[in-house]
Amino acid sequence: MKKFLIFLLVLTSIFIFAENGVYDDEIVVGSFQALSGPYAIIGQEMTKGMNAYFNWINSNGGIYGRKIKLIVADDQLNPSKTVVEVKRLVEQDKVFAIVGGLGTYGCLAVMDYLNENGVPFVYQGAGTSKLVEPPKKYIFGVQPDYTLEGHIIAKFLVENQGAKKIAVLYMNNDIGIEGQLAVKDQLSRYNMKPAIEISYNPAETDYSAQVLKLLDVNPDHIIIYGLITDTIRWLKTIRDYGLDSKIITIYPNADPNFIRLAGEYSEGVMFTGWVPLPTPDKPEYVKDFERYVRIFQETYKDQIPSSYAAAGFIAAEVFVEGLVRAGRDLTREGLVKALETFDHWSGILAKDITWGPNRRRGKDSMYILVVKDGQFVPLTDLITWKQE
Amino acid sequence: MINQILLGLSTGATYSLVALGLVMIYKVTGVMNFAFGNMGMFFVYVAFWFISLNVNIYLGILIALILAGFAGYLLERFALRPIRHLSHASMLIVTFGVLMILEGLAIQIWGTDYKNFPELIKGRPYVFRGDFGILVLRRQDILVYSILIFVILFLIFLFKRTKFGIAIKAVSENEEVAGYMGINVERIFSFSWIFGTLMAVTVGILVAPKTFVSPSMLLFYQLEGFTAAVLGGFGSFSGAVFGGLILGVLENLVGKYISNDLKSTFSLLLIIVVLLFFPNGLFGARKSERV
Repeated sequence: MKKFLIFLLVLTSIFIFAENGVYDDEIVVGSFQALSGPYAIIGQEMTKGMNAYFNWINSNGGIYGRKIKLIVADDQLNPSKTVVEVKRLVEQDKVFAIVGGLGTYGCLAVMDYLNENGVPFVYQGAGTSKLVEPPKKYIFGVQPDYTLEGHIIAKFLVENQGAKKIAVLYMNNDIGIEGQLAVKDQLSRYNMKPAIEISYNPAETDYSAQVLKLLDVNPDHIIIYGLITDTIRWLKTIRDYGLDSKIITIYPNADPNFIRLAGEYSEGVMFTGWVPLPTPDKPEYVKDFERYVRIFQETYKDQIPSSYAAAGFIAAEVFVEGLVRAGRDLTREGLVKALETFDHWSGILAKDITWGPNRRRGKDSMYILVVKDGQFVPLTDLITWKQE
Repeated sequence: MINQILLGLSTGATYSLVALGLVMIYKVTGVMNFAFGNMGMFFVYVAFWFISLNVNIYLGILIALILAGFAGYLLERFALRPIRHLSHASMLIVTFGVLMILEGLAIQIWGTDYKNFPELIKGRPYVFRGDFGILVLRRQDILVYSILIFVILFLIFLFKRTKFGIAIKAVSENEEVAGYMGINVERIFSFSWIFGTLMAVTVGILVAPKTFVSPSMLLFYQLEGFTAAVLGGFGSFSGAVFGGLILGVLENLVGKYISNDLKSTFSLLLIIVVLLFFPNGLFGARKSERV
């Protein structure tokens, strides 16, 4: 009996002190991505970015002798699947942390579960501020959210462009509404209001009826809170109706596909951006970018990484830096403490990331890009906004 | 106001074309074709594919239309006709299956990223300014109206002037009796599916410059066309035409005077209201049966 009790004691102490997913020679982490279904192109690319970075770390000896093993669950960007897959990752695969989950609704669906179970969730491929505001101990956001972005856009338009009459076109969904509220909030600090606000259904394909309202107002700047296809439809409609207002739209649209689909209409359109552009005037970014491509091609020979791969790469980069800072005796609590020490940290692609004891919004700065001669070029340096 | 009506009419005209395709298939074969939008989508991809191979744009569209008509024929002949005697529900399931197969195929062959489709008519819209405010007429609208008018004239000619048209009517009334009268019922079935599929592709090509070519490009139009058909009474061609036009105008007026957010909700609400008060649609003939 006594022997059995000692055995039980040893067993429980192993369970208490050994951290889930951390072994002598490896650290098991999980992620959820759309690997199949209509959004597979995003999920597969993002997974490649993570794989490339982790492979590079592993082939250079890992973190304190531990290799990183990434398990990617396929949720097809369907939140009901995300919940099942993430529970499986946490409860059966016993992952140490979740890194780089894709999809706003999927991330929101598992946010409370992960936080309550004390599983760190680093980098969400999502743009809602609900993930980081109010701060949740185990949820660390990297990508800018639409609240931050809305304030930065409004700040840029008023302070930098001297905008007087601003029109806001926004999708009637979470993204659009969050952005529109943030723009209004920032404008109210200058005692301004949008000259006109139009909400629309992104599934609709004809905005002619609404563009007439814009013609009445004739704004000097138009903010479009839409995704790639509906933003381009707006852009074409606005220009075809003879409005030459300046147009600015959100960072998910700052993708080569936008220029490809919009053609000459994209000329002069402004975007927010957060991943630095490797343009000739920024040699240090060019160097970083070349390094990133080299690391990517170690795993995916001769392939050109997309902007989604860059997102996965950044997720892995930030997480690994956290592991390094957390030290040899890796625990979830230790990782949280380590991530909280990030102070304007920059890696290869990840730039200017800050967390703190009561702060989970990783970025508070973005910059503005513009399309010139069919290419994205930076228009400003980083613009910072701090929540008061 | 005038402008909102004008723009509504042009959107409505595309809804009418969708409704005509749906109603033709429904009236003759009794099947609600859920694969309608995706059949259109698939052959817009085919047209896109030809055009990207540097085939002349009109030739590309023509080839796609011919292939689409053929596909409509094959689908009816080999997938639906064999199970015709089972039930209408089983045919419905087949159209669902086709919907998913076509979507999967399109993703496999062409991927999920959006493709650019050239506009048939380019250029700035005609803008008239005057006492009445601003009046805008887009060049594309003229094309949409002309196609709708052409299809309407074709149908009038078919039903009023040809034996084949009378045969279609007979089959839609009662296929069994029509068969006894020596009408080739199967040919009529084939025709209805070819016609329906052609409508789907036509609408697809008209809207492709705006929606871009993508697997879900026609979902919205299928829904609106279905609403238009219900509004006009599922089973009447004139109902389909007017249903589409009325829906387009009503939606725009709701968007302008009530709330732009509620536009789509409004059309779904409309289906329910119409079905409650006019079970046969606004233009549907009331069926009187002898006891």
